[in-house]
Amino acid sequence: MAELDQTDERLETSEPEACSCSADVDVEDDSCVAEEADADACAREPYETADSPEPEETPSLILGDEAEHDADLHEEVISSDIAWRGKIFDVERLEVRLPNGRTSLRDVVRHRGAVAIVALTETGKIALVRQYRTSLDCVTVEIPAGKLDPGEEPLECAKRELKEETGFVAGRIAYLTTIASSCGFSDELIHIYLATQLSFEGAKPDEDEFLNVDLVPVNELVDAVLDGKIEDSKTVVGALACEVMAHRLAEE
Amino acid sequence: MAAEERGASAGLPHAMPSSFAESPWPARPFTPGDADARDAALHEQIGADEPVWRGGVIDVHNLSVTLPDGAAEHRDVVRHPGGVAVVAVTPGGQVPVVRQYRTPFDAVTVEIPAGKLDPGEEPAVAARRELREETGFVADELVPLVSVAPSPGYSDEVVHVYLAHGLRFVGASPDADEFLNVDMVDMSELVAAVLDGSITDAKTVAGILAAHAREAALHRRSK
Repeated sequence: MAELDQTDERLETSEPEACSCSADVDVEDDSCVAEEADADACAREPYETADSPEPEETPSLILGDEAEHDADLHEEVISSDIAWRGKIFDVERLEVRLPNGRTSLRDVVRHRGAVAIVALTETGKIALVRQYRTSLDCVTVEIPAGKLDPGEEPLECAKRELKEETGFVAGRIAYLTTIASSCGFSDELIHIYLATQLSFEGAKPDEDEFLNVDLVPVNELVDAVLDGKIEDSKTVVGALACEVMAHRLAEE
Repeated sequence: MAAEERGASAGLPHAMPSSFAESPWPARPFTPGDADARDAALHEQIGADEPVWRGGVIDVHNLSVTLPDGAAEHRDVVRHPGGVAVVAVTPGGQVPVVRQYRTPFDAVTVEIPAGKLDPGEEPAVAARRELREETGFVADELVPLVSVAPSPGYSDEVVHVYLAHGLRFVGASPDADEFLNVDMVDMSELVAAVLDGSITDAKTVAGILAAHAREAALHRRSK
């Protein structure tokens, strides 16, 4: 565990002191090297002092709740109740016990979930929806998307929203990935699908839905994302995932 | 079989030829939101904006709006202070990631370092602050990578993701009630994990893919 005076020394010198469990990130060195592990220094007590331990080098990614010390990070729910109910989400207020024994309040948005669709035409264009977003008070450009109806399967929702918003029916629709839009305070999951072999059958947006649809070359969308012109997270993820896939297919 | 008959038997409207490959939608170059002449007609007029619930971090507002067709509607919107996140990359291609418990999922997640903006705080300042507090790293170079609105359908949150290079470890100092562990992970493993859905945090997925795309583009240009 780092002592305070050792930390001060590191601040003054440009080279970090060789210390157990530290990752040396000297920029002249081309690698991060973990020194020989010292059993005591490796003990993980993240809540013990104001300075948390140095990052431990891991040989590979360990997913959430699969690492040895993840259990120590868990909060215990003491009580919960729905503090506010809305049309598309509720707010649940939880009282929790933190790892250091103190209690805290957590507000959680409970959301049924949503889907989004990367719809690609035969000529490599992607269907994009232009709509006004009240939350941001502006028109955004996003891939087609929508909230799950009660009890609706994500795949069915994807087909439904694609047809309602763009009029397209997909000959092929495949699950791409899922993103947790804002896991700090919301449980919303957005399931992203890839739709190809599109045929147009006529759009039918909801009564309070006003939108326009553009067909844009995928590479232009990716450029727009990297130029900071697209903010919607599911659109950013959908576009960049396409980019990676396209390059991997090209390399093969 | 004639084109129209094929169309009819496939369930397509009679008037539409089955060889209709695309759609009435215009094929056009990318145009940002509100830069298109038709966008103005999509706007709602916001009348009242009332807070209906106040929380520790987020508030819920109810907005009375008038739709483009003149109809009245109410929209529930989560108001969020906004946040920052950092994809920090060492010369060896490793990225510090944060392991923390996320109440909404009752689970520990793996995410890039991140945090909320303090009132009036500049995003770049917040990014440096969160990177240092959570991971103990300071960066010589911090550049904007991508800004993401996690869920514009109901929330005004925007997260500004930065790319950081030239890292130096000076010691972490998380907040008193912040409990987290930090791992160093190869960028290539993170790219694989976000693509196969092992990592689902939206700002992490977007940030890692954007950093990878930028790196790949630089690599192609240097060939």
